[in-house]
Amino acid sequence: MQQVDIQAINAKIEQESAFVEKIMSEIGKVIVGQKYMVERLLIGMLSNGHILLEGVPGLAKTLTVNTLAQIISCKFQRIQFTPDLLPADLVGTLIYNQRSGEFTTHKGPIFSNLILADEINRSPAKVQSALLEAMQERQVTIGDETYPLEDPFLVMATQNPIEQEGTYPLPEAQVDRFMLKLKVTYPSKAEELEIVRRMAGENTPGVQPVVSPAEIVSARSVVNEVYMADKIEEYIIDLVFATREPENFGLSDLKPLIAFGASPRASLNLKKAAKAHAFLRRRGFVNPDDVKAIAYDVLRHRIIVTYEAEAEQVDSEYIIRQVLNKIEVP
Amino acid sequence: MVQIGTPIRFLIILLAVHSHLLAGATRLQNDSTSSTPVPSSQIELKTYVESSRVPLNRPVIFHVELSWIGDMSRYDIEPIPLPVLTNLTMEGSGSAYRLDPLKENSYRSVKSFTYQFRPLSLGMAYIDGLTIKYTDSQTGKTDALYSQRMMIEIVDPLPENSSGVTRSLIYLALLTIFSLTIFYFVIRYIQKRRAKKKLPVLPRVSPAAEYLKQLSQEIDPKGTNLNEMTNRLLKLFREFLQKEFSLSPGAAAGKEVCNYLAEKGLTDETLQPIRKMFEEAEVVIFGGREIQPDDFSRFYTIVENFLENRKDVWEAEHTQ
Repeated sequence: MQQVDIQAINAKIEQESAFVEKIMSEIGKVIVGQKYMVERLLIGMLSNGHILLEGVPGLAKTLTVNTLAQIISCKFQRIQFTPDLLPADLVGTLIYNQRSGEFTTHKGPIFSNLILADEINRSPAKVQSALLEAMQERQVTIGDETYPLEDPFLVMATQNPIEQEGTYPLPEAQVDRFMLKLKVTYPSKAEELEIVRRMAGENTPGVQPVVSPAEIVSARSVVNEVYMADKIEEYIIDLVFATREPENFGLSDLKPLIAFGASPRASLNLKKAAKAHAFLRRRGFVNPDDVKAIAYDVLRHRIIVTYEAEAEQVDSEYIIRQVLNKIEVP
Repeated sequence: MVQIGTPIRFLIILLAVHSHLLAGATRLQNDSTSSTPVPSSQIELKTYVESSRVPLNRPVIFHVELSWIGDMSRYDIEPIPLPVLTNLTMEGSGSAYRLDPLKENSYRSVKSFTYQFRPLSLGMAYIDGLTIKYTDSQTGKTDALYSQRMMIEIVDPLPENSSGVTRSLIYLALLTIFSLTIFYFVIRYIQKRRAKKKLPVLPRVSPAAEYLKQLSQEIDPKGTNLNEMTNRLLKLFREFLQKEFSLSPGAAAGKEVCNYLAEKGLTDETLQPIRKMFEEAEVVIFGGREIQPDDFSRFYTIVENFLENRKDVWEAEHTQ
């Protein structure tokens, strides 16, 4: 077995992950509950992946991202996607200066660290693809010039699962570019009571910047160092393959329910996200729990169910649950 | 051909001519047959129906036969007109030519025409007489033959045999299906009775005892490559938990396993060392840390004690 200096990694993690507590503490001043969402946002940031948030309006999606941007003291932009939005409104354009007789570049709101693409499915495909291309390439070309985007650069796009009229649902190939798809749920009764008490007053609580973008970038390199045993990698591959060839894993009953299984990008993202999850737990190695914890968020938008499955009210989460129960942990 | 004397030949010709002059001198052989009485060397016409009483659902078969002694080319027969029918309708017709050998190297040429008619209604049906014109190729003389009007009685239709056969087949098929169904349920009943009679086979050895045996055979607490041994020990322990407590193969860390076992009624006292073992083993299995022999020995003892405990529980349950 490869000898790994877990203690050294643990020590590094201990040092680099100190900001996690600060962030959680600071964000807790404004956001009640939603620990799952906040943690996944940090995972996205630490593993350099973008996040698709799905939830009904009023679940503090925007507030969470806004608060996180304030805590990290980085540039934040919220872009409301509307049917008349143009790619140039997003990435920027060249403007002719009459006085100098030259074109000057006007950078769009995408040149920020944190982007909240609100209701991404309200804009047509050309705008969606402009954003998704920037997400993938991490650079934007305006005119003849190519500009790299900020680092860290994290896009959090929201989708409203209701009011589907007049929307442009993201194609599966583009949804696959999001590392995680989060389902934001309602707060508990106690949490909602706390929200009412805390936010209904005139003085809404504020937050202080406690982390710099540089610290996030530095932490990212430590996340990469988190040790992942071969067994865990094989476990990840088994999970992903079980969504493609369920019959080979004793899950023949899932075969007619799956139109397309998860892509290799799912395996990559599962590995990265599991490492980030272990980092947030201040652990220098990944265990199967890390993989299982993040599996739903990585896989739910990458498994396409058949019409038969839809007719039987079976969704991708059911398939993931079955796969996680069946595949033996190492 | 037979040489006939001139006076005799003359007499024959006279008779033939007489026959032709008596247009309708065809003789009724029976109820349904008529023919022209002409000498055998001359052309003869014979018409008849196969039956003079025909059920409504059966065809009327009408035959027209022209015959003479000699070559087929002796007489040139003009096309026979379709018979005029009453209470019948034409269904089909056909014709045939044949040579019947006679004595003394002679033969009879026969041209036969067959018509099939379908009765239209009950009662009487008629086939009007035919006029068949012919030319004698030897003499070049043209003449005609006449047949009598035929009368057929159309009677009540016969019951159709085919429907009876079909009905019988359906009955047979239903009977077969019924018999097979009864047979199937009888077999099922017998099988269930046999299964009930079988006494449940109780395992002689508890799963824990089996795993204790495996533990002693497969894992050496004083062996080398302790990291691999730790992995094997935990795997074996998980297998036992899956068998004994139906633990899901996907249950991950010790916390999840211990919570599940707590739900199954295991005390916290029993679970505490297991929880600790899982936590420590995790670093070895997934973190790549080298395990110390003392730690491995401790893990081995925890698993062994747990299995011993489960074995005692099983035996206590099965001796009652």
